[in-house]
Amino acid sequence: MKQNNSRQHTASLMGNLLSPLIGKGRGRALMFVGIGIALVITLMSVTAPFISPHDPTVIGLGPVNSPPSAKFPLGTDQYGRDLLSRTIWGGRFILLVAVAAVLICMAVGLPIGLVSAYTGGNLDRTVALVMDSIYAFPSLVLAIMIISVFGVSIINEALAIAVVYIPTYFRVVRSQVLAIKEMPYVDAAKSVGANGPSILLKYILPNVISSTVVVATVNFADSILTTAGLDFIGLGLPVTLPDWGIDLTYGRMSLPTGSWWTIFFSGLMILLAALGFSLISEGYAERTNPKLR
Amino acid sequence: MDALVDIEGLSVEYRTDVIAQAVQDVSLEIRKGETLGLVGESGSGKSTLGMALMGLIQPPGYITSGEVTFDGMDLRHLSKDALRNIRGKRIAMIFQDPMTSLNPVKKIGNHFIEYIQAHEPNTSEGKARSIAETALADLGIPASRIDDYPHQFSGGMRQRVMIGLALALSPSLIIADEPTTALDVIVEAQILKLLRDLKAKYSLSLMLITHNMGIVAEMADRVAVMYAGRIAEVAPTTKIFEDPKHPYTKALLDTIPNIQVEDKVLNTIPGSPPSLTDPPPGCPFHPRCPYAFERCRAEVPEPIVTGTESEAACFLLEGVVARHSLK
Amino acid sequence: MILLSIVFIIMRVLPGNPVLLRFEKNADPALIASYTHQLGLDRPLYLQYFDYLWGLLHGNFGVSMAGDFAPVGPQILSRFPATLELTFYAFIVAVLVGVFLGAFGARRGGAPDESVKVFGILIYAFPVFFLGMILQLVFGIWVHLLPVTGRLSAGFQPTGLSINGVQYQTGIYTLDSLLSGNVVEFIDAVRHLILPCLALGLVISGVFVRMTRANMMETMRSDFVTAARARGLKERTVVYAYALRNAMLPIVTIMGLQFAILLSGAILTETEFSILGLGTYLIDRINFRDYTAVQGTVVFLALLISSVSLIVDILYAYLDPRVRL
Repeated sequence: MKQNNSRQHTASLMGNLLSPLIGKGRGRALMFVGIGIALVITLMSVTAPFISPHDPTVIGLGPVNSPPSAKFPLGTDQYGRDLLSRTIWGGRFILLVAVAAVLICMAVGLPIGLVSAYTGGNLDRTVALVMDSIYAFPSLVLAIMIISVFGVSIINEALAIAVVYIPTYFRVVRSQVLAIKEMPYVDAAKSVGANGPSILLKYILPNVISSTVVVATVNFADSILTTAGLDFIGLGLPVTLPDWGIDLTYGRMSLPTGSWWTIFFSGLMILLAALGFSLISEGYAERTNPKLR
Repeated sequence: MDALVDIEGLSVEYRTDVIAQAVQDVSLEIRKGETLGLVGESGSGKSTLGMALMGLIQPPGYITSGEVTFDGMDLRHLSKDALRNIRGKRIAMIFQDPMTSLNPVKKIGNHFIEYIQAHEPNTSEGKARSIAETALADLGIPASRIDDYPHQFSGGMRQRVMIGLALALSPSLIIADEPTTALDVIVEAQILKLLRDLKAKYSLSLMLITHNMGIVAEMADRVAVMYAGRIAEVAPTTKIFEDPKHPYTKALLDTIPNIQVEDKVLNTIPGSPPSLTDPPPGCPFHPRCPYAFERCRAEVPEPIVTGTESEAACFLLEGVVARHSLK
Repeated sequence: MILLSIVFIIMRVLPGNPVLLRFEKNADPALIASYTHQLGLDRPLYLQYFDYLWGLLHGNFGVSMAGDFAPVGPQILSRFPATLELTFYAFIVAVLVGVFLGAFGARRGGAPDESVKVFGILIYAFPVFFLGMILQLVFGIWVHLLPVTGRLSAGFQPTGLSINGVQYQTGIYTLDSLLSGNVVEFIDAVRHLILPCLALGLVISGVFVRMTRANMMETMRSDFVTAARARGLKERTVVYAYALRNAMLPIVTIMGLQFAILLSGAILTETEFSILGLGTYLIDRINFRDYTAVQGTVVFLALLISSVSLIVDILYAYLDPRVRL
């Protein structure tokens, strides 16, 4: 009974995770469009060194502030750099931070939520109280605080974003655990000798997975926006590196002359990246939540 | 015959991913001053029929055919505003779950006042308030509670409030959709008595929708049995219980345990109600009917008169009485 | 309380001595020592913590490290009104757009409803500064309709209420100009607010759109709505007094949370539109490595968010008769 169980168990978890991808019904279009956008952007960022036509940091490659043309399909910025290359390269930092943030959140938030809710009692109440205090704090402000003191790095930004999002994971997991904990089938399992951790794994985890996916994708989208925002106000990457947020900072200076291309494409990419993951979240939520019809 | 409501060939369907036939070709009448019991299982279409009478069918539900006449007025072809005037004023409805039928953020008194002023705009607030107080008194609720909120009342009291709202403007017809299903037995008895008293006092007609044969036996003058969206049988109450003609009615009555007979096993009707999205051809009951024959599978039976004020839709009765349809 | 402690930990405890961060490595040690002493940073840590909390109780947000040791509190207060004005009007935009679009979609169903849903997701994914830029471009540069930066045009002086010849200013230009009866200035202030409030308000409305829509759809199907219709009430009454009124209740509970997000957005919006509010002050102080000022500002923001949450809780108790304090 115990040996082949973990294989079956993982398989059923994967099934839980992926089943909303299959079959008809609500939210399918949303989810797939989201997945599509997310994939394209990720691919673009990952393969940037190979597909980028020029080096994005080279100054004076073309005329300053020139509109999109055959030679420079997205135009050039105020330093004469090719905007197409900059746009292709611009998402790497932002996406890396997002990945790191989500991973940290899951690694910290989920176990704390599971254990705290399962243990119950004063521990649970205390932890919940702390989490609630952090919950409302805006991630941008916290990130600003951390970065001002500790400087910029992928880990720092990811940490700042993660800290504010952990309570969300915590809450979601906790509410599921609290609900399931009281159910008769858990008592039944206990009566045949199942112990704490195995109950957690077998009964609670599968139910938690779909909620986690929804939260993680929203977290990812939010992280993209926050990181881009930080880059925009100058608390992000060093300004010589290509980044969508930084491009907006500089492109902005050329705005009064009407050079829309200096900001449009970078901004659009941030939007699309955030949108892609948001759509996945909405679509997935719609498919796994019967109440939303 | 004194028909207050005349329903002719009414059909209602729900269109979502699939189309469900909730009510099919129903013809029925409700007479002045009578209590008509409408019985059937869940999904038989009885609630939908009640809603259709009130003009409360909203998309994805649609009335696809039929006529509804109330006191001489053609309800199906009235303007929206005219229909709204009748709703609540000439015909009123009481719903099943008193816990969720009242607006949680509105005081009880204001439910009345708003309602009264909607139908009679010239009523002053003071006058509306006193009407409300009288209505509540009729129901055994102290007037001091008029400014309380719904959550401060018990289930039974809330149902009384619903009844009070239904009666406030003296309607001719009340449709009660499972009014006591959500209440315990003692409260149920009180509510039923209340309904009887009020009906006598105000000379109302009552359409009582329920799945409980006991309530029907106690309250109804005539009974209409619905199955899968169609009328199976209509007859005076005593007739239905003593001499049911339709196989479904018979089976239904058989499932009621008889306290005097020592049955070891509870009777059930084998099988399950048909799918409303993909109904079987012919008589809807034939898959579960012990008497079904070839014709039942092919044709839908029309109602056949089986006695005074009685009819049943079953081919078994054809040889017995002359074939013509009377309501 | 917990928030305040967290801020203290991050700003004071973790980095060690912020004065060192402020100055370059090879600065004069005497200067560093003097700063450290002046700021009370050489006192034991737990004493510093108590000083911090005690100071806050008295409205003392610390002193600036920018050389003059000016108290941070008044600086914050001078920049706060701009942020308040921006957030307030943006919030109104967000709620109005969100609720009406959400209700519209829920009632209509079909294609309009799907569009509303997608709009909600799309607009929320918009970086607020990008939206701001687009608005500036379209309405300020391509078409010279609205001003794109600042709060008042050149040549305008913020006025205020005059009592006995003394001017009282709130710092909220729309309010001040009304109080002083200066209509021209009022219009100018409003014109400057349109684009930034639109940008911030629209992005935040995304959440309200989605929540209102979801809640409305559920509420419209509830029993008391059907019962209200059965009583022959006007459809408009049923939708607004019954469905919407109840659907909105859960939305009030998230307004506190939304305020925090609004503040983040405000920081970005102020930067984009060159509005001198708390957001730009914060960034400014960071660039000057004025850590005590940064700490003071963040603390102020945390207190602000807590107060708003409290107000929202009270508001909710007032709106929902089922909840009594």
